[in-house]
Amino acid sequence: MSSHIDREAILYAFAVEPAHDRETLDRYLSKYPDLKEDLIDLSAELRLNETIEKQPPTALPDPGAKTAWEEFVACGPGNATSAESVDLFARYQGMAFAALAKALNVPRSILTALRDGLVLPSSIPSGFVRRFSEAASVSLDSARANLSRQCEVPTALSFKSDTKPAHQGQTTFRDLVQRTPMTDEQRSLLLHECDEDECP
Amino acid sequence: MTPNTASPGGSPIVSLRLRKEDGTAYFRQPEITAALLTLSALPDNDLVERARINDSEHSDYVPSECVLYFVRHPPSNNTSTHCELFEILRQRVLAAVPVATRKLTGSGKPAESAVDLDIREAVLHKFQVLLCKDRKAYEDRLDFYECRFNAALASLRATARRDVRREAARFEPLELEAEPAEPSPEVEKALLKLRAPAPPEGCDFLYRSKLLRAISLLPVKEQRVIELILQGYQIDSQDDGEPTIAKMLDCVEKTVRNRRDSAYLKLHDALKDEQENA
Repeated sequence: MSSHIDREAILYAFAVEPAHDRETLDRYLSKYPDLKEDLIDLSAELRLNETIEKQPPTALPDPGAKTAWEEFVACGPGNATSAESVDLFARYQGMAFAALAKALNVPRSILTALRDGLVLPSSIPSGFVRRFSEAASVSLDSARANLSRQCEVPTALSFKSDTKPAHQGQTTFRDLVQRTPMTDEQRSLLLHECDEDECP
Repeated sequence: MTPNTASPGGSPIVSLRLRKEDGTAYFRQPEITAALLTLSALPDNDLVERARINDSEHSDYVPSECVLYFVRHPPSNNTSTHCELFEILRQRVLAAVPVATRKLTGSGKPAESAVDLDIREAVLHKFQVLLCKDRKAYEDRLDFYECRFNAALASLRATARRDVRREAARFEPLELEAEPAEPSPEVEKALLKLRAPAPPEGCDFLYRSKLLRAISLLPVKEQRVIELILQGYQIDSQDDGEPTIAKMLDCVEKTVRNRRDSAYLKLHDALKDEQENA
């Protein structure tokens, strides 16, 4: 079986071949039979380029451009401090958020709680912070800074509530893991990380 | 980084580091290297002005491979130029992941396809991750994009499409395979034209685009059958050594024919308006 990284490299290599005719497809299919569906799908996707390359050019709205540039600059040498100030969760929306949860092997609700600052920063095990930094391709400091958030009450709630809204306080990472529905394997991994760090 | 060529202005063009499986190096296309040599000698303002041209037919158009090069290797210390080139590069990525507009059921108002928006977001995100990794330490996967930008981006698009489809499939009711139906001769004729590498005479570009787009909207199993037909594979063969669609998709000949016929019907419906207008 091709590993995830191999798979990506093989598909890139197929994509940048000068021709995507039957001969090229046959060559890749016989060499990488376990990737046949991916290769056939990519072959179809490459056919779509014909329409994309000739589309009438128009400027498209890109509301994330500023954040993306800040994040890009923060990844440069000597920018460790500014890297911490970048809101990582801003770039993980929709499918990207789901993909991050999958990469971390946790239910999305765990990530949501971390994003919303519902977890005590001191209770987050360093093993999890390290995995988060690897999955999000950021430094450990940046990962730690993004996971150490303050709990905020959404402004919209103030307009809907009869009493003054207040958050329920922060919980420990261990408690969150114990109360969240997930597979035994996921729970055991997260609790093992808590035990290793002797987290509360 | 190893410079391989010097521009008229003296600044070196940095070579790609990526190697193929056999150890040989990947190279930029000759026209990209030539464009880089010319563009490297331009003042920042002129470079940005030219990079802003979106029309790929324009004589001053800067290929996306070159825009990426200048984001990875900024032409000067001017942060504003670097930022502008970065934003232009994002525009090129956005343009390569089109979002279809469909009529909403009920109101009939046009709305952007949620699936396409998810795919665009995922592609943009993955590309951003590659750029950030490259900024920290050389990310050789970006070399694929300097070889053939839109082709490499198609790989990201295909992966994003697969992930979005998987996610969407979780909420779809289980259905039986489509009932066999009579293949449409018009669709077969249109697909034959698609097998030609360039639009043949009489095959209108918009019609081709519409057909390709309709194929991309087919259920994935049907789309694979159509792609393999377009590549010239037979559905089945008496020759055991011959690769056939049935063998490649691990199903029986009848299933392949059912999928093909079901796809033809959908394509026929998608093209009906076009044919009526013609």
